[in-house]
Amino acid sequence: MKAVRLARNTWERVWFAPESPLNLAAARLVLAFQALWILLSRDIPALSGLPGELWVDVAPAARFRYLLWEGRPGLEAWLQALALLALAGVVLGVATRACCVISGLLLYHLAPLETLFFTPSPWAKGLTLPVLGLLTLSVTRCGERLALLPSEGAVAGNEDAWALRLVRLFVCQQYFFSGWAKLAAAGLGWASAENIRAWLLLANLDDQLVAFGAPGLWLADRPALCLLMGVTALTLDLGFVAAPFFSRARRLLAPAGLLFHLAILLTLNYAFLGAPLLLLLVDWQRPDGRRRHVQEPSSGSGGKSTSSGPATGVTASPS
Amino acid sequence: MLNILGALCFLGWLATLALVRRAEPGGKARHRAAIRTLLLYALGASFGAGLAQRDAWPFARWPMAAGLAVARGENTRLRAVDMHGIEWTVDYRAWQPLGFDELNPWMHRTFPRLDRVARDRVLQHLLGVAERARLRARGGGTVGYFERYLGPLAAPYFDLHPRTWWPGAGTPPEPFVGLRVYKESWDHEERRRHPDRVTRVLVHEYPRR
Repeated sequence: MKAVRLARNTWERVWFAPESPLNLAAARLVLAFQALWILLSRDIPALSGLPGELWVDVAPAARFRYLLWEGRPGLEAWLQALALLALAGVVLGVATRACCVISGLLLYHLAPLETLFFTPSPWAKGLTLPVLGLLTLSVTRCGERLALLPSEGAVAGNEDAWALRLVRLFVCQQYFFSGWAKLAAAGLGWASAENIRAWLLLANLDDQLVAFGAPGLWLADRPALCLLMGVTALTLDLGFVAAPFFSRARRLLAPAGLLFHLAILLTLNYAFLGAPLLLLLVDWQRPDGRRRHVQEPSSGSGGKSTSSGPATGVTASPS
Repeated sequence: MLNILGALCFLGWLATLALVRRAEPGGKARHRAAIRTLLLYALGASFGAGLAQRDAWPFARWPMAAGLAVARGENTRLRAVDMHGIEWTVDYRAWQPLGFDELNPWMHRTFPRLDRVARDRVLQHLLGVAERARLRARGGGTVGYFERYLGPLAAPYFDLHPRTWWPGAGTPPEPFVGLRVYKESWDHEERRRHPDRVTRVLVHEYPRR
């Protein structure tokens, strides 16, 4: 029983310890700007107008999954316009909840269109986390701050701290699962100098896929640096699992992640479009809980720990 | 099967979000219970997809550079042919709205399996796309049009590619009248020492000569 109580208290403290409403609002802006950046950098609706031969491998289940069928570029253009309008609402903080849910659902529909003729999973295209994040924020008071029309009747955003932590967890999962995928597919041998050299050659020899050839090839000829690169990449990937719940880890991993992406860009020619979402790990403001005035009464279901962390000066792990 | 599971996973996610929304006016305890359900679901779905390495997008498995890199490289190359029979490299932006990162692997994996008529139709379409891009760039416009709103701040492709055309004189001067599809293969170590050691095989040509 004691273990159960401990687990429950830990769960409550991890997810429900106070968080600054400003950070939640900033997350809203980062997710919306990311989605706008991608949509305005592509022409996704036009892909619905591709000849039918390009859709030959698209399974019927994939079409139903995303409600996508070829030959409807006009309809898709209208839906994208609606998504852009909703994202503008998210940015401005106007009808924020409605705009979050509309944009999240429309992005779920539109994003796969970019890759559907080749693969039903557009995971690398930069819209994966905006879909999850905007839908998560649609049930929160993320429009309380940084908004033209702040949410009415809003209370302290501490109740929604869980949402920010969940969004941060989604961000960190990109890296953690990437590390996990490496281990699952190749074991620790993934980080070996031989494998990293092979990846560097793979990414730097085909002239169609190379913008920066010299750094990667230079590195490929240095086994010790290849090994260092492999070990660092694997450690960083797996280390990200700590970032959602430890502010010190976030302060270290967010800039380290940006450097990591820059190094990958220069040596492997991969531009990871989710990199700007590392901004979600930034604490723009310290949790209001530290000011003590937001301590809340117990919810009666294990909610005691909601205020126990910050009030007692324990830097609750979530923040 | 994965598509159906992915769809169900997303619908379940929406259901838990709706649960939180509905519970909100019902008091703090009920609201908190709904949030717990949502969190458990999100953890289950995301870690399920990630740890099992089974994609349920938007719960993705993030297989970035996973696996052991193979010793041999393979790719497909599209080359345009002008009215004088001269072959030209086609800039990766000329295929827009198609992204090179999808088009090229599709050409490598799926295109060779199509019958001749279907291949011709695909290349006829792509030839039109490339020629329109050439005309626009040759006339001083941008190569491709993805930078129409954000200019140089537009999102890059996941794979970086070299820019081979430049507006104006930096674009092939004569109209494209055909396309050739080549399959290329090489040994990485050998190509590292001799960059031109690439085996190239013509897969298809449009129009057929």
